[in-house]
Amino acid sequence: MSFKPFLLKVEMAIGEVNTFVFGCDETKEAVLIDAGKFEPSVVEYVRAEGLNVSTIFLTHDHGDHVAGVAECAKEFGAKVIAGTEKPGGYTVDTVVGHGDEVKVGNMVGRVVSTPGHTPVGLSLIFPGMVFSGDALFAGSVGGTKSDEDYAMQIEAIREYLLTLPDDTQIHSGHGPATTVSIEKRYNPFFVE
Amino acid sequence: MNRDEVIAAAARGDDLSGQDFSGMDLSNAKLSKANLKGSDFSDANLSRCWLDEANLKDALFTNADLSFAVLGGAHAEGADFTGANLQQGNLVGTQAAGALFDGADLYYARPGNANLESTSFDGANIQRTIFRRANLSGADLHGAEGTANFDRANLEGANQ
Repeated sequence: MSFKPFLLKVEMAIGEVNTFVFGCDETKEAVLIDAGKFEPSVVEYVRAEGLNVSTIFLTHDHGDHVAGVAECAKEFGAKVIAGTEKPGGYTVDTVVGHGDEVKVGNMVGRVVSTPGHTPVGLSLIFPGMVFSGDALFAGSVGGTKSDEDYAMQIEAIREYLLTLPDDTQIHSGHGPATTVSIEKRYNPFFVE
Repeated sequence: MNRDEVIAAAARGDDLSGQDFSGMDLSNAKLSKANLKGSDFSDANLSRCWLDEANLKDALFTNADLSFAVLGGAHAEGADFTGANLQQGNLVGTQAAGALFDGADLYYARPGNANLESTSFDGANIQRTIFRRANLSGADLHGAEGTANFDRANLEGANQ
Protein backbone atom coordinates (compact mmCIF):
# COMPACT_ATOMS: atom_id res chain seq x y z
CA MET A 1 0.00 0.00 0.00
CA SER A 2 1.31 3.42 -0.93
CA PHE A 3 0.82 6.27 1.48
CA LYS A 4 2.53 9.36 2.82
CA PRO A 5 2.59 8.87 6.55
CA PHE A 6 3.99 12.02 8.08
CA LEU A 7 2.94 15.04 6.16
CA LEU A 8 0.39 16.52 8.46
CA LYS A 9 1.72 17.37 11.80
CA VAL A 10 1.64 20.40 13.99
CA GLU A 11 2.87 20.86 17.47
CA MET A 12 1.60 23.66 19.58
CA ALA A 13 2.96 24.71 22.89
CA ILE A 14 -0.20 25.36 24.84
CA GLY A 15 1.14 27.26 27.75
CA GLU A 16 4.33 25.24 28.03
CA VAL A 17 2.85 21.83 27.28
CA ASN A 18 3.03 20.41 23.79
CA THR A 19 0.01 19.03 22.01
CA PHE A 20 0.47 17.28 18.70
CA VAL A 21 -1.88 16.69 15.82
CA PHE A 22 -0.34 13.94 13.74
CA GLY A 23 -2.04 12.55 10.72
CA CYS A 24 -2.10 10.40 7.64
CA ASP A 25 -2.03 12.55 4.52
CA GLU A 26 -3.83 9.96 2.44
CA THR A 27 -6.85 9.44 4.66
CA LYS A 28 -6.75 12.76 6.57
CA GLU A 29 -7.24 10.76 9.73
CA ALA A 30 -5.29 12.13 12.68
CA VAL A 31 -4.43 11.51 16.28
CA LEU A 32 -4.27 14.22 18.93
CA ILE A 33 -1.46 13.44 21.31
CA ASP A 34 -2.12 14.78 24.80
CA ALA A 35 -4.90 17.18 25.64
CA GLY A 36 -3.84 19.41 28.49
CA LYS A 37 -6.29 22.05 27.48
CA PHE A 38 -9.05 22.57 24.97
CA GLU A 39 -7.42 24.98 22.57
CA PRO A 40 -9.48 26.66 19.85
CA SER A 41 -6.38 27.08 17.66
CA VAL A 42 -6.06 23.30 17.49
CA VAL A 43 -9.66 23.02 16.34
CA GLU A 44 -9.05 25.73 13.75
CA TYR A 45 -6.00 23.88 12.47
CA VAL A 46 -7.88 20.61 12.22
CA ARG A 47 -10.75 22.25 10.38
CA ALA A 48 -8.45 24.16 8.03
CA GLU A 49 -6.55 21.00 7.10
CA GLY A 50 -9.73 18.97 6.69
CA LEU A 51 -8.60 16.41 9.24
CA ASN A 52 -10.60 13.84 11.09
CA VAL A 53 -9.19 13.51 14.58
CA SER A 54 -10.39 10.00 15.27
CA THR A 55 -8.18 9.28 18.26
CA ILE A 56 -6.81 11.07 21.30
CA PHE A 57 -3.75 9.40 22.79
CA LEU A 58 -2.73 10.35 26.32
CA THR A 59 0.88 9.69 27.26
CA HIS A 60 0.37 9.88 31.01
CA ASP A 61 -2.07 10.94 33.70
CA HIS A 62 -0.97 14.40 34.67
CA GLY A 63 -3.35 17.32 34.58
CA ASP A 64 -1.27 19.42 32.21
CA HIS A 65 -1.61 16.63 29.62
CA VAL A 66 -5.15 15.42 30.19
CA ALA A 67 -7.29 18.23 31.62
CA GLY A 68 -8.79 19.10 28.24
CA VAL A 69 -9.58 15.55 27.15
CA ALA A 70 -13.34 15.63 27.71
CA GLU A 71 -13.82 18.78 25.68
CA CYS A 72 -11.45 17.60 22.93
CA ALA A 73 -13.13 14.20 22.69
CA LYS A 74 -16.54 15.84 22.41
CA GLU A 75 -15.39 18.39 19.84
CA PHE A 76 -13.74 15.84 17.57
CA GLY A 77 -15.93 12.85 18.31
CA ALA A 78 -12.71 10.99 18.99
CA LYS A 79 -12.08 7.83 20.96
CA VAL A 80 -9.62 8.22 23.80
CA ILE A 81 -6.72 5.84 24.33
CA ALA A 82 -4.51 5.86 27.42
CA GLY A 83 -2.53 3.63 29.72
CA THR A 84 -4.98 3.97 32.60
CA GLU A 85 -8.75 3.76 32.82
CA LYS A 86 -9.56 7.23 34.13
CA PRO A 87 -6.85 9.80 33.47
CA GLY A 88 -7.95 13.04 35.03
CA GLY A 89 -11.24 11.36 35.94
CA TYR A 90 -12.20 10.80 32.29
CA THR A 91 -13.20 7.25 31.39
CA VAL A 92 -11.23 6.30 28.28
CA ASP A 93 -12.46 4.10 25.45
CA THR A 94 -9.41 1.85 25.31
CA VAL A 95 -6.63 1.10 27.75
CA VAL A 96 -3.40 0.16 25.99
CA GLY A 97 -0.03 -1.03 27.14
CA HIS A 98 3.40 -2.02 25.95
CA GLY A 99 3.36 -3.66 22.54
CA ASP A 100 -0.13 -2.55 21.54
CA GLU A 101 -0.74 -0.84 18.22
CA VAL A 102 -2.57 2.40 17.47
CA LYS A 103 -3.92 2.82 13.93
CA VAL A 104 -4.19 6.28 12.44
CA GLY A 105 -5.40 6.08 8.86
CA ASN A 106 -2.83 4.00 7.06
CA MET A 107 -0.26 4.44 9.78
CA VAL A 108 0.35 2.09 12.64
CA GLY A 109 1.96 3.32 15.84
CA ARG A 110 3.53 1.08 18.43
CA VAL A 111 3.04 1.70 22.12
CA VAL A 112 6.00 1.27 24.44
CA SER A 113 6.00 1.56 28.20
CA THR A 114 8.18 4.39 29.53
CA PRO A 115 7.16 4.73 33.19
CA GLY A 116 8.99 6.55 35.96
CA HIS A 117 7.69 10.10 35.71
CA THR A 118 4.33 8.48 36.41
CA PRO A 119 3.65 4.85 37.34
CA VAL A 120 2.14 4.32 33.91
CA GLY A 121 3.76 6.26 31.11
CA LEU A 122 3.51 5.56 27.40
CA SER A 123 5.42 6.58 24.32
CA LEU A 124 3.98 6.17 20.84
CA ILE A 125 6.32 5.21 18.03
CA PHE A 126 5.72 5.66 14.32
CA PRO A 127 8.40 5.03 11.70
CA GLY A 128 10.82 7.96 12.00
CA MET A 129 9.02 9.60 14.87
CA VAL A 130 8.26 9.05 18.53
CA PHE A 131 6.02 10.92 20.94
CA SER A 132 7.67 10.50 24.32
CA GLY A 133 5.37 12.36 26.70
CA ASP A 134 7.28 13.40 29.82
CA ALA A 135 9.72 10.48 29.78
CA LEU A 136 12.40 12.00 27.57
CA PHE A 137 13.01 15.65 26.74
CA ALA A 138 15.65 17.42 24.70
CA GLY A 139 18.65 17.24 27.01
CA SER A 140 16.68 16.00 29.97
CA VAL A 141 14.27 13.41 31.37
CA GLY A 142 11.03 13.65 33.30
CA GLY A 143 11.11 14.26 37.02
CA THR A 144 10.67 11.22 39.24
CA LYS A 145 9.73 10.74 42.88
CA SER A 146 12.23 8.07 43.87
CA ASP A 147 15.52 6.48 42.86
CA GLU A 148 13.59 3.39 41.79
CA ASP A 149 11.33 5.40 39.52
CA TYR A 150 14.34 7.21 38.08
CA ALA A 151 16.14 3.94 37.37
CA MET A 152 13.02 2.49 35.76
CA GLN A 153 12.64 5.51 33.53
CA ILE A 154 16.26 5.57 32.43
CA GLU A 155 16.15 1.86 31.65
CA ALA A 156 12.96 2.18 29.59
CA ILE A 157 14.33 5.13 27.62
CA ARG A 158 17.58 3.30 26.93
CA GLU A 159 15.80 0.13 25.88
CA TYR A 160 12.89 1.42 23.85
CA LEU A 161 13.71 4.94 22.66
CA LEU A 162 17.46 5.31 22.29
CA THR A 163 17.59 2.06 20.33
CA LEU A 164 15.50 3.59 17.55
CA PRO A 165 17.30 4.76 14.38
CA ASP A 166 19.50 7.80 14.95
CA ASP A 167 17.45 10.13 12.79
CA THR A 168 14.19 9.35 14.57
CA GLN A 169 12.50 12.57 15.64
CA ILE A 170 11.52 12.77 19.29
CA HIS A 171 8.55 14.96 20.21
CA SER A 172 8.23 15.48 23.96
CA GLY A 173 5.51 16.75 26.22
CA HIS A 174 7.49 19.89 26.91
CA GLY A 175 10.10 21.88 25.05
CA PRO A 176 11.61 21.48 21.61
CA ALA A 177 11.87 18.42 19.42
CA THR A 178 15.06 16.42 19.25
CA THR A 179 16.47 13.26 17.71
CA VAL A 180 17.71 9.93 18.96
CA SER A 181 21.18 10.84 17.72
CA ILE A 182 21.31 14.05 19.75
CA GLU A 183 20.04 12.42 22.92
CA LYS A 184 22.33 9.40 22.67
CA ARG A 185 25.37 11.58 22.15
CA TYR A 186 24.68 14.57 24.38
CA ASN A 187 21.80 14.16 26.84
CA PRO A 188 23.50 14.73 30.24
CA PHE A 189 21.45 11.92 31.76
CA PHE A 190 22.83 9.34 29.34
CA VAL A 191 26.41 10.38 28.66
CA GLU A 192 29.27 10.94 31.08
CA MET B 1 16.88 30.54 -3.77
CA ASN B 2 13.40 30.28 -2.39
CA ARG B 3 12.30 28.20 0.59
CA ASP B 4 11.58 25.04 -1.40
CA GLU B 5 14.88 25.26 -3.22
CA VAL B 6 16.81 25.64 0.03
CA ILE B 7 15.10 22.60 1.55
CA ALA B 8 15.69 20.54 -1.58
CA ALA B 9 19.35 21.58 -1.75
CA ALA B 10 19.86 20.66 1.91
CA ALA B 11 18.25 17.27 1.32
CA ARG B 12 20.66 16.63 -1.55
CA GLY B 13 23.61 17.59 0.61
CA ASP B 14 24.53 20.60 -1.51
CA ASP B 15 27.04 23.07 -0.15
CA LEU B 16 24.99 26.00 1.19
CA SER B 17 27.84 27.84 2.84
CA GLY B 18 28.16 31.60 2.48
CA GLN B 19 24.62 32.08 1.20
CA ASP B 20 22.24 34.94 1.95
CA PHE B 21 19.06 33.64 3.58
CA SER B 22 18.31 36.83 5.47
CA GLY B 23 14.63 37.47 6.09
CA MET B 24 13.61 34.11 4.61
CA ASP B 25 10.81 31.99 6.08
CA LEU B 26 12.40 28.63 6.83
CA SER B 27 10.15 27.72 9.72
CA ASN B 28 9.78 23.96 10.18
CA ALA B 29 12.31 23.35 7.38
CA LYS B 30 14.53 20.30 7.58
CA LEU B 31 18.14 21.43 7.15
CA SER B 32 19.73 18.73 9.28
CA LYS B 33 23.46 18.21 8.70
CA ALA B 34 23.53 20.93 6.03
CA ASN B 35 26.68 22.90 5.39
CA LEU B 36 25.57 26.46 6.15
CA LYS B 37 28.93 27.79 7.24
CA GLY B 38 29.08 31.57 7.18
CA SER B 39 25.57 31.93 5.80
CA ASP B 40 23.41 34.92 6.69
CA PHE B 41 20.08 34.17 8.41
CA SER B 42 19.57 37.66 9.81
CA ASP B 43 15.89 38.36 10.52
CA ALA B 44 14.96 34.94 9.12
CA ASN B 45 12.12 32.86 10.51
CA LEU B 46 13.74 29.60 11.62
CA SER B 47 11.13 28.67 14.18
CA ARG B 48 11.04 24.87 14.65
CA CYS B 49 13.64 24.52 11.92
CA TRP B 50 15.77 21.35 11.96
CA LEU B 51 19.41 22.41 12.05
CA ASP B 52 20.66 19.43 14.03
CA GLU B 53 24.26 18.47 13.34
CA ALA B 54 24.49 21.22 10.72
CA ASN B 55 27.62 23.24 10.06
CA LEU B 56 26.72 26.72 11.30
CA LYS B 57 30.22 28.01 11.91
CA ASP B 58 30.43 31.80 11.69
CA ALA B 59 26.81 32.00 10.49
CA LEU B 60 24.77 35.13 11.20
CA PHE B 61 21.48 34.74 13.08
CA THR B 62 21.03 38.33 14.23
CA ASN B 63 17.40 38.95 15.19
CA ALA B 64 16.36 35.61 13.69
CA ASP B 65 13.45 33.64 15.14
CA LEU B 66 14.88 30.31 16.29
CA SER B 67 12.16 29.48 18.80
CA PHE B 68 11.82 25.72 19.23
CA ALA B 69 14.51 25.24 16.57
CA VAL B 70 16.67 22.13 16.79
CA LEU B 71 20.38 22.98 16.79
CA GLY B 72 21.44 19.97 18.81
CA GLY B 73 24.84 18.61 17.83
CA ALA B 74 25.36 21.47 15.38
CA HIS B 75 28.71 23.18 14.94
CA ALA B 76 28.10 26.87 15.52
CA GLU B 77 31.53 28.07 16.57
CA GLY B 78 31.78 31.81 16.09
CA ALA B 79 28.14 32.18 15.07
CA ASP B 80 26.34 35.41 15.86
CA PHE B 81 22.97 35.02 17.61
CA THR B 82 22.74 38.65 18.69
CA GLY B 83 19.11 39.58 19.34
CA ALA B 84 17.86 36.17 18.20
CA ASN B 85 14.79 34.52 19.65
CA LEU B 86 15.99 31.14 20.93
CA GLN B 87 13.05 30.51 23.25
CA GLN B 88 12.78 26.79 24.00
CA GLY B 89 15.47 26.09 21.43
CA ASN B 90 17.25 22.74 21.36
CA LEU B 91 20.96 23.46 21.79
CA VAL B 92 21.80 20.09 23.31
CA GLY B 93 25.43 19.33 22.57
CA THR B 94 25.76 22.34 20.27
CA GLN B 95 29.39 23.25 19.69
CA ALA B 96 29.31 27.04 19.83
CA ALA B 97 32.60 28.23 21.28
CA GLY B 98 33.07 31.93 20.72
CA ALA B 99 29.48 32.49 19.64
CA LEU B 100 27.64 35.71 20.49
CA PHE B 101 24.29 35.58 22.28
CA ASP B 102 24.13 39.25 23.25
CA GLY B 103 20.54 40.38 23.65
CA ALA B 104 19.23 36.95 22.64
CA ASP B 105 16.16 35.45 24.27
CA LEU B 106 17.04 31.98 25.57
CA TYR B 107 13.97 31.54 27.77
CA TYR B 108 13.72 27.82 28.64
CA ALA B 109 16.28 26.96 25.94
CA ARG B 110 18.17 23.69 26.37
CA PRO B 111 21.92 23.97 25.86
CA GLY B 112 22.71 20.90 27.96
CA ASN B 113 26.19 19.51 27.34
CA ALA B 114 26.84 22.30 24.85
CA ASN B 115 30.27 23.78 24.37
CA LEU B 116 29.75 27.49 25.02
CA GLU B 117 33.32 28.36 25.85
CA SER B 118 34.17 32.05 25.55
CA THR B 119 30.65 33.01 24.53
CA SER B 120 28.95 36.29 25.36
CA PHE B 121 25.46 36.69 26.84
CA ASP B 122 25.37 40.42 27.48
CA GLY B 123 21.75 41.47 27.85
CA ALA B 124 20.50 37.97 27.06
CA ASN B 125 17.42 36.51 28.73
CA ILE B 126 18.49 33.23 30.35
CA GLN B 127 15.40 32.72 32.48
CA ARG B 128 14.92 28.94 32.97
CA THR B 129 17.67 28.14 30.44
CA ILE B 130 19.02 24.67 31.15
CA PHE B 131 22.83 24.83 30.96
CA ARG B 132 23.20 21.38 32.55
CA ARG B 133 26.79 20.15 32.05
CA ALA B 134 27.48 22.87 29.50
CA ASN B 135 31.00 24.17 29.11
CA LEU B 136 30.76 27.89 29.88
CA SER B 137 34.40 28.39 30.70
CA GLY B 138 35.45 31.94 29.95
CA ALA B 139 31.90 32.92 29.04
CA ASP B 140 30.65 36.44 29.72
CA LEU B 141 27.38 36.05 31.61
CA HIS B 142 27.69 39.35 33.45
CA GLY B 143 24.88 41.17 31.69
CA ALA B 144 22.57 38.18 31.33
CA GLU B 145 19.17 38.40 32.96
CA GLY B 146 17.14 35.70 34.66
CA THR B 147 17.64 32.57 36.72
CA ALA B 148 19.09 29.60 34.83
CA ASN B 149 19.96 26.00 35.66
CA PHE B 150 23.75 25.60 35.81
CA ASP B 151 23.74 22.06 37.24
CA ARG B 152 27.25 20.62 36.77
CA ALA B 153 28.13 23.28 34.20
CA ASN B 154 31.77 24.29 33.82
CA LEU B 155 31.89 27.95 34.80
CA GLU B 156 35.64 28.20 35.19
CA GLY B 157 36.73 31.70 34.35
CA ALA B 158 33.22 32.75 33.45
CA ASN B 159 32.23 36.30 34.22
CA GLN B 160 28.96 36.07 36.16
